[in-house]
Amino acid sequence: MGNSATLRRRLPTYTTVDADLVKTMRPARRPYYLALLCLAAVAAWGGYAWSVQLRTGLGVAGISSPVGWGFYITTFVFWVGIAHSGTLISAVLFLFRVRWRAAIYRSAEAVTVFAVMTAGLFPLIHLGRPWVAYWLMPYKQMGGLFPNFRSPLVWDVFAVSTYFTVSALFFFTGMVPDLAIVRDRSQGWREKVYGFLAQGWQGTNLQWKHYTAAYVFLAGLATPLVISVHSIVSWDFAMSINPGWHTAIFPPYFVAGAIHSGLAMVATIVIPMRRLFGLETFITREHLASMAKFMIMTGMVLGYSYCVEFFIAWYSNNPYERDLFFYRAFGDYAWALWLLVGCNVLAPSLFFIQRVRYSTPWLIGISLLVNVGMFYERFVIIVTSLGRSFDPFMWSVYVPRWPEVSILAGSLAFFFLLFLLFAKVFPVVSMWEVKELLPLPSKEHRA
Amino acid sequence: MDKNRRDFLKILGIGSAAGMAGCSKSAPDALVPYVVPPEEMVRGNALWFRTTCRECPAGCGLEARVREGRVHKVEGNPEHPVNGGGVCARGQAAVQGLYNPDRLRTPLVRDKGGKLQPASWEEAEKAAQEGLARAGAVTVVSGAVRGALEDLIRTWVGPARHITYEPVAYEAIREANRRVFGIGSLPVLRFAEAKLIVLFGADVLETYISPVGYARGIAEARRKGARLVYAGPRLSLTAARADEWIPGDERQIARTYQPPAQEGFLAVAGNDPVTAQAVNLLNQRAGAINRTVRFDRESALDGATSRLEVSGAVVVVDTNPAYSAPHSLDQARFVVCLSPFQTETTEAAHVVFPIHTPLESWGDYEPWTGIHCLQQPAMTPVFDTREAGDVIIRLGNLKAPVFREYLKERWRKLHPQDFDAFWAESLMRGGWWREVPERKAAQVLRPPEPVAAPAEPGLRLITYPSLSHFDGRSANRAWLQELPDPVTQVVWDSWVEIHPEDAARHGIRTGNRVRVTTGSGSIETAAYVYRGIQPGNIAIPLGQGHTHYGRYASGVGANAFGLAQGPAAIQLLSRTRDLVAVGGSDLQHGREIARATTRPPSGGSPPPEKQEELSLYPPHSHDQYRWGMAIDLDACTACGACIVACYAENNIPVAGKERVAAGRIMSWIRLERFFGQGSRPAEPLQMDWTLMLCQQCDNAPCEAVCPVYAAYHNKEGLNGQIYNRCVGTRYCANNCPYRARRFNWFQYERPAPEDWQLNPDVTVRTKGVMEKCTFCIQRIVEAKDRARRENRRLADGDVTPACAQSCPAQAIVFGNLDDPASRVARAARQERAYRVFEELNTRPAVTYLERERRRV
Repeated sequence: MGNSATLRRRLPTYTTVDADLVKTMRPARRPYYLALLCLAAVAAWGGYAWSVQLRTGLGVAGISSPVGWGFYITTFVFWVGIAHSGTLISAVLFLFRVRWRAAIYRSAEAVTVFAVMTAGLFPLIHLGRPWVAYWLMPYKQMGGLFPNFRSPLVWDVFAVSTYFTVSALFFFTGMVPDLAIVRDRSQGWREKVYGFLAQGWQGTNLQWKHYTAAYVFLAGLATPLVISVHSIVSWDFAMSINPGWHTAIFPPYFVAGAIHSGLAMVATIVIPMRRLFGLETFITREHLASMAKFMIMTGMVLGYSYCVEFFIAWYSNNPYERDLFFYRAFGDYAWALWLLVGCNVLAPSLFFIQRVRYSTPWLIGISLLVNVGMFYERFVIIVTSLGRSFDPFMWSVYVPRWPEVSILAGSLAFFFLLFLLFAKVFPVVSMWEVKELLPLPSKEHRA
Repeated sequence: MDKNRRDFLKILGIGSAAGMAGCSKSAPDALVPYVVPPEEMVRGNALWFRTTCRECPAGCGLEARVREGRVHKVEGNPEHPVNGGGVCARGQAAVQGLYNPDRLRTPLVRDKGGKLQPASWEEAEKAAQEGLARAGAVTVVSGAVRGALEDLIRTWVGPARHITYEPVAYEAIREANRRVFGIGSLPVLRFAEAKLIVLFGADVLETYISPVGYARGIAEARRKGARLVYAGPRLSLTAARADEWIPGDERQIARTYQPPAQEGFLAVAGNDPVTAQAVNLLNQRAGAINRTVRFDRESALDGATSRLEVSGAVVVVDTNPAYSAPHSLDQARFVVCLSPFQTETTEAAHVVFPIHTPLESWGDYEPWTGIHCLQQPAMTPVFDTREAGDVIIRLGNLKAPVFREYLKERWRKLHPQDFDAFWAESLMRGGWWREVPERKAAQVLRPPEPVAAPAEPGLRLITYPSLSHFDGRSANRAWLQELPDPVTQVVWDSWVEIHPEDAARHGIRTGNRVRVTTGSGSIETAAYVYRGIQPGNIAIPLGQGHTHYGRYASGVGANAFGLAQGPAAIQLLSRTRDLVAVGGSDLQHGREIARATTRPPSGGSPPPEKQEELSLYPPHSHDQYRWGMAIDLDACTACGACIVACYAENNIPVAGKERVAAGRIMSWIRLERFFGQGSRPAEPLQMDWTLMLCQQCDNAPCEAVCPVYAAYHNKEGLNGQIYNRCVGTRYCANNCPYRARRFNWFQYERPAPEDWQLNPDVTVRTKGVMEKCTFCIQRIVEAKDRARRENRRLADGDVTPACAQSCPAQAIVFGNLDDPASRVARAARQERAYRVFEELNTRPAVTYLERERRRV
């Protein structure tokens, strides 16, 4: 069943698009508030764990010497990776005129913005002295001292903050015409708020002309960031000298992984949302299957990267690399390595089967597996390389403790909490772009 | 460019100085300067007082560094004949005895209910005198205290009722000497003059008689090419240090050993009658007697006993028989105990007097005839305590002035003419040492061989004084509890070493709780499965398992003093694994961190400098100095003195057992110990080690990754670390291939008065910042200030970091690498020189000299 055929049958007019999509913003029922409450409670527990850590010191966590980075940095990279889908789906696919993005890009962008917000907490959480984190900002400190521009951590600050700024702008800009629709359909203070957010949008020809230009410009600005952010995050590792980290494949490998995990997270969110809000007509199985195909590709890229890592470790004849990769495959964390290979490469290759691709239970199941697998990918990279570096006397095994697990859970809750709030406050599907998919209202089509 | 860089460094300096105050949370409300400072004291300048170490009977000379009236560090007295400048780990920890938070603060008297209650000095003295009078003739039990205190005790109770009690008294050796040579004295061992040293179960580098002096002597002998052989059932630290370890029963080996026809032979026996007699005859055959083994001087241990049984009225002076000789005080009717700490003996006593620790006391000690060591207080007492001598004078109603005057009068007899100058000189020198007439062991008897206990089936138990705690008296020092045992790497515990075969038979794995039973009792402790102990033997270190010895020692490990050496049984109790050992892998995995060579020195030219410039950045320029260090692994004995010295100098916090288990030990230097098998088949287990500390790389991976320049390169080649600039990303530690950086995972608090020990020249770090070895930068700064005042450049040897100062074997050399004539630069050019992970192009400033395993 074709895409436009569905729309044509179910959605005859622009008005019904507006009506159906604004429906998602109707006052919520009890289960929604219950879910909010649960998520807020888990997020608060994570906050409590952080407060204990702030008071007592990082020692309450499982990180120690020599594994000084553990769950926190793993989670940071995980969320930055998740944040990739949004820009990819909205900007890159927009520039390539991939039509299936229209139905899901709003959610994907929301995922991006909230994931970067969540990710941004983790460098703070993992710092020994977060109260002086502002020293990483590029301004004259202590009589003229700038941060060390040779440190990848400073690049991280720029990369992530730029990415957040551009993504948030893009997210908001894409929403302006829809906010105007919401404004027109609301009364009282809501009208005022949405009116302000809509920035005086009238839908005039001139506005559309400028708007489209700005949108293309922003998309063009955002596209290189898809490559740069995760390349730079990967340099946190690739620029160091640790075996398993110091490798040139990291930037493309990390970008592919990020897109992989981002798509999986979007699928994880969009599939239940589509069901709950009755958006099946807008987000069709066709759209989901397209995402699945994309995940086949990113999964294959990752599989290739894993193989190259092991091959180069063997081929280089570098004893440190060889020992490390042998350890990854057969050592204390071998289970995690095989788990991530299964989740990230083998599971998405099931999408080669058409039935799997079009089945929402399979889709959501495999997406969840990819989410788990991508977390463990970063975990294995970080923990094994630190725990098994050059000096055998300083080899060690890392086990997270309750604050790390709590803060990880809290971050998940924080992210979904933001998304849940977003789903009730803003239109989750782009009305104006869905309308672009509709046939023009002409006599021909009415017939 | 250059100017900017200098400005930048200046700013860093100002920033660090300005932020120092912010590093410690608990700043005092007001700082009040001295209105009239004491004479000879200049604020900010250290005063040094020479005294004598009393942590074991060896009697090493110390220098106590005093700042603003407080001792914060002790170092070896370089002029002293016993130790010549080195101090062992236990000596370094003497300051932790001084500032121990569990010191007794008032006299204690047992009340009617049988509980010890605080009392005034008058009440306690009255109670003690009455109690002693009621209980009959007074016996005084003390450690080896040859000198004024011994004289004083003997004036009171007479020589017959004074027992010199030392848990490790080497009676078997003295008895064998009496039987063979007619001299019942410990021998003076001239290691430095030996060419082949054969040790039969004698752990001369750990606790044996005078380990610091012996380590120095052996290092000197090795520089002249001497070889070292160890025979015994355990690969002890000393055995591991030897060129060859002959595993087996040292009693058998000693009887059959054929000495080579060679000058400079020296055999040393452990404290066992069969071995000692065999070794005496061996030394005699090899012509070592009166050459490398001499009897010119008597030892302070000569009258000592390790078997103690007393009754009636007993006064125990600063020793702990209730711990090391269980039941020895059971027959005593009334016990008075003089001790700086609560001990098992104070718990058994009726009256307890708190006395000064050695660093607060006047006294003297004569470890060997003619070596008169002086003790003087380096600071005013921390608590309301008294000199042991003064307490004895009052208890015995002796007609003597205060102890200090008594001591002085005794010394007047040594040198009556021009006494005041002699006294002042002796105090400055740390004592007075005189030549003694030669005493030859001429008479050689051939006594019948002592009957060895028949070999029984089952396990043979060996107990040995532990390197960190000796006979238990050092167990209440947190630094020593946290110092990993060099062989097992265990902290805060005791263990029983068992061979893998025996362990498998009993189903025991490392860390399991086991019960060891002998004819005289049993203890429970953790098992350590060790390939370095011969099958059929098990070994337990002494010194742990205190019940009443302060917060650091009580309840830690098990006390093996009640166990008889010999046949024993072992039984698995539980599979819990609570033994905490530092260190990841026991093997080097081919990474050549601790290198040993068997090739003889060729004397050829050193290998060409392998390091070449591979950097996008211009090379570092050094103004005047590039500091570097050379560590001679052929001299290093793995004794751990440098590690404890570093704790004392650099205000390193003690983490505790749980935190060490989690990988949070804070020591800036660590001993990395690796096992390996020899190259020849059937060669026994070998142990190699190295000291790992910040390598102060010229091309440092830590510096580039720090986002805020907390890690930076200074003009003298040091990798600076600015604590108050550090935000705690830990990236520097992740990027250090040597894993030399330590992170403050917690805010470490020191219980009062332990905080008095803190070195005022070194910042106390707050939680969340990174720290590491600084090459004792405070000492560099101090030396440069001194040189600037004297209008000269620093000379080689002007700066000595704490680790190098402490090293008994003088294995660590520090200096300016840019000066080709300096000792460190010469060492770096040696044939044996190597740098760890050189292939990473980090260009470290620490050079190691590989160990030689000489063919015997």
